[in-house]
Amino acid sequence: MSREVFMERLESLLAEITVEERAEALQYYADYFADAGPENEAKVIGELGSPERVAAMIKAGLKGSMEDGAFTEHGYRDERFEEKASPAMQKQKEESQKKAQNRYSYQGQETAGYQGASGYTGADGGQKGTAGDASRTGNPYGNHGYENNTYGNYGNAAYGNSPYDNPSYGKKDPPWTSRGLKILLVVLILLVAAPVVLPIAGACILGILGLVCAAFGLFLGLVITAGAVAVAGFSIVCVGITKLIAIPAMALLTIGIGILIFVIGLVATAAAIRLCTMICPAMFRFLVGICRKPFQRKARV
Amino acid sequence: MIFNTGAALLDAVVLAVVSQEAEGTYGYRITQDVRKAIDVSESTLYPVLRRLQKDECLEVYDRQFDGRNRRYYKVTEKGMAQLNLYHMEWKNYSKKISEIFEGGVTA
Repeated sequence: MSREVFMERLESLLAEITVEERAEALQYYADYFADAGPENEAKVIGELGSPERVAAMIKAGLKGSMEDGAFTEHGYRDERFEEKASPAMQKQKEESQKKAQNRYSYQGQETAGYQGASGYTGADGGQKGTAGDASRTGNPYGNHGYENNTYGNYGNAAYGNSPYDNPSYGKKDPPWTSRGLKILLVVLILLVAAPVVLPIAGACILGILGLVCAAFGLFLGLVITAGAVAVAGFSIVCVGITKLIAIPAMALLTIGIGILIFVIGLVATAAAIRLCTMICPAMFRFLVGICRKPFQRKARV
Repeated sequence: MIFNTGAALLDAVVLAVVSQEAEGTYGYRITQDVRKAIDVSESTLYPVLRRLQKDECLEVYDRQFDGRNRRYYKVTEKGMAQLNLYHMEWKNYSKKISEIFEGGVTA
């Protein structure tokens, strides 16, 4: 990726922040590339990471949420900004995960020990029960004790052996939210909310469409009015010319007024068209921004 | 380095680096100087500089260089006060850590 592509990509990624902030950030990175020199361009881009990452950090900085992460030897480290790491980083990550696993395995064993103990007391109670009530009810208590005991063993086996190959200990994400479940939930929510959301969304879209049409009509009206004024001025001039011989003084006055009106009309037309070209793209950008907002937020989370 | 750098320490290092130049200094050099001490990624510095600027610890101005405008950063009075605070805190902190490491041999 070249510096130009990087800057263009960054600019489009920063579309949603204010003009001032965007200009600041772009100026900074333009300076940065210029000061690093063309010979270091590839190195700088490699160090900065993808434009997406740089943009995400700029936005996070604006929200004042940089305090959540930590600045490690690999730079600012925050899960939100993690992306495909370089091999060296991957190795480091694996090591730290292993460390985390070791720590968890220690806890696991401790829990297992505790569970084993509880299994043991259960067995003890069960034996007592058997001893006390053997003649009346027979085995249930004893069985209970036996079950507890196996549970204890089971706990031992499960907790004592698994930590090394149990991947879920090393990861940080919440353990029970699966992708399928999330999709199901979203579908359910959509089904329940559809009768309410669909009309509202329709109304919103139609409302926006209406506003756009109204604005368009307004501008068109302005342009046409101005054009009509110019045409009227022109025709007054024509009328003046036809009366030039019959009533010269009146005709000259008419021609003068006609030229004035004609010029005013022309200027107004030009101004209206200029206004259109200025406001229409801005409006369009605003609309596109609105449409993109929900998707971008989703992507960021 | 195996010790993580928190936001406050990074602020402190950035302020210290910028304050070394009376005339002020620019983004690329700040990054290079900060990276002499702590290995932060290059994209980390912009949000930090921008925040310090908003907190009025840094001020910026543009100066012509090489036919273009280069943005310079300079420490404000508030920034100097903040830097002194960080410096004091760091002295205390590092002294205590050293004392623990060296068993109270160093004073």
